[in-house]
Amino acid sequence: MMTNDIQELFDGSLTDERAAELFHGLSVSPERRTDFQRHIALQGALRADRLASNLTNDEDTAIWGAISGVGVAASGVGSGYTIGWVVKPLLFVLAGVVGYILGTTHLSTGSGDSNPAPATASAPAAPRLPLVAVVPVVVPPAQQTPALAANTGMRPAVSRNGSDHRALNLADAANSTASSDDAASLARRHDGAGVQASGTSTDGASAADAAHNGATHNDVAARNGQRDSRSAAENIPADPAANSPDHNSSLGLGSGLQHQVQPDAQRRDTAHANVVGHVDGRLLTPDEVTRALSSGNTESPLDENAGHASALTSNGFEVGFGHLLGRFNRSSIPLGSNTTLSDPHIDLSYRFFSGSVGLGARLGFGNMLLQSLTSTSEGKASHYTMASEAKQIGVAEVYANYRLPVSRGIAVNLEGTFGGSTQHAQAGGNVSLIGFVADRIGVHVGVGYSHYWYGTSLSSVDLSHDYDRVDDTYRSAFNGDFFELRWGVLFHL
Amino acid sequence: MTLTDVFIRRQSDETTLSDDELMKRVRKEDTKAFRVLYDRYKTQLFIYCLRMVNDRDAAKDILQEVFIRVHTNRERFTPGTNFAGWVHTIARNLCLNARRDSKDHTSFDESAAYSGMAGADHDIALQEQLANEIARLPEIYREALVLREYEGRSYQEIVNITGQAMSTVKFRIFKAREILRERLSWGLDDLRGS
Repeated sequence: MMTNDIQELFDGSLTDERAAELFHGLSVSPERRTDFQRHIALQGALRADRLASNLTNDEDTAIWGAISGVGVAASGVGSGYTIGWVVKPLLFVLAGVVGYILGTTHLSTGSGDSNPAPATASAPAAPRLPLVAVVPVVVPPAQQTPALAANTGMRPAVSRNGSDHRALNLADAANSTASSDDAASLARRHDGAGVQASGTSTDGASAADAAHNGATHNDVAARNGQRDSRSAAENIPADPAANSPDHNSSLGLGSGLQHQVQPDAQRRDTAHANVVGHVDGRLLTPDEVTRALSSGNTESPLDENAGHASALTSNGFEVGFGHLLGRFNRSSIPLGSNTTLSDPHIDLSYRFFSGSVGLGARLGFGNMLLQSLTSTSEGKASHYTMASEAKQIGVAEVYANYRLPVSRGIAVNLEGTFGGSTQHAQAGGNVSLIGFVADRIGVHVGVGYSHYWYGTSLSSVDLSHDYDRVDDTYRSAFNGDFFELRWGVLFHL
Repeated sequence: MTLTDVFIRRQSDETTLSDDELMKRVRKEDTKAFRVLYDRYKTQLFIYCLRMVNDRDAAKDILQEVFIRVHTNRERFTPGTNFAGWVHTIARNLCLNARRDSKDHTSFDESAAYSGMAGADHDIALQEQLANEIARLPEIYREALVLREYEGRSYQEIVNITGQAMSTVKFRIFKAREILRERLSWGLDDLRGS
């Protein structure tokens, strides 16, 4: 009966009354105390044996590997992870390709002409080559014509010596009507040479379509008008394509732009005119113009206010500071009490190809598992238990990114990363929006995805090699995905 | 809801699923679910097998075979029934087969094993002796004891697994403990007195 009571006491099923009787019997009988102590000793021995009988990590890995090896788990593991890892990078690549196509389309069409004017029947299919005509126009300040400014959208800029050096659009009729972008371009190159017409008259300049002008008939020519701009505007031929060489002198700059460019195209001309309109007494070289246009910059390369965009599209070093706002984990990762979900990092990169591509390194923090060894005592026996706990440790990454300008000073950044720590490895990517808020200071915010792998067996061995028995039933290998939100600031050096 | 809430909730999605839910996923070839089941039962099944056959290598083989059979027979498992009982039945049958096939029933010389031992060596020897004595227990006592002491199962769970009456389960556990106390009395006395 005594043994029954002791066992029920251990099981927690002994009633209070019988427990009182048991304790009374133990207090008065040394034999019962001896029996009771044997019960306790047996319980301790069973518990110690249970702790010592656990599977080790190596055994666990081997057994699971064997189960997978016979095809039980292999099918699921293989297909699941393979598909995931084929599809996920492809999605990133696909997003990049789509972004690139959209971006290049955007840049090549300037402001994205959605309503191009049809080509005139008489216009030859002129090649859509860039065309540049730099026309130094000598205009007395007093004779600066409002009509010209209004029609071209250009701001008359008169230099001290009275000569107005402008790079003007001398688009032919075909180009100007077929594509407003072409017509709107005020800086073009033609056949690699460019046409330059110098006004010899002090009372104005005229330039017009040259599709039917001159011996070549497919070039734009700048014509020296004998009249001022106002008079040129008043002598606009009804059909510019009908201009004969004889009428060259009567074609004014204002007429060409006023009649051959659609109104909305003229508005876009205004933007493009800014590319080269503010030359401050100096003509732009074709390279400067081309570079400005290709980068999507509608400001003059000489314009000191264009710093936001130039920092985005120029080569050089960049340093940055960022923060991961949170990680949304899709698989099991043990968390510790001191886990933080906000990890800072610093970046250093160099940008190539007009700032579009960057290679860099990143140092920061991440939350990973670390091992700790704890001991508990039962009588003379001590039990050591390995525990896994998430802590914030240092993480290093290398990354490559591509920036797709979407507007002045703003770009979409596509980035791939690979890195890790002493505990893990990870690979992933992120998409963020970058905006330059000052000449060389930008901010970015985005989302990222990563897959991580890490094991704890090495650190476990390091901690437990001095101990004979360690209860190490924790998992030793982890992998999974997480999504993260991120933001940061960057400085273009 | 904080980010931590989201984080923890998402990471524990699969590990908090019931056995039934996991088996439903296993039937749909969800290997992660199968891995969760494996992690959930591997330790107790291994200890059960180890104490039933008293051979570590054999226990590992049995554990492996148990999960292979679980996966092979996943379509036969009826949701709503006792998965723990089902998987233990598989393990028990495999252990019985292993013991029947094994001709090696080791005898243990207590006096030789414990002569001159003290301290940690004594503890290790006592545990080895304990393992051998458990292996020598009658099958019905051993199973009940292992389920109770090594897997920490309640009496009701043991009833569900073994299909025996509650009183029978309690008696078997009582007898198993009594036999062990008698056979290990001198070792337990040393441990008690130290």
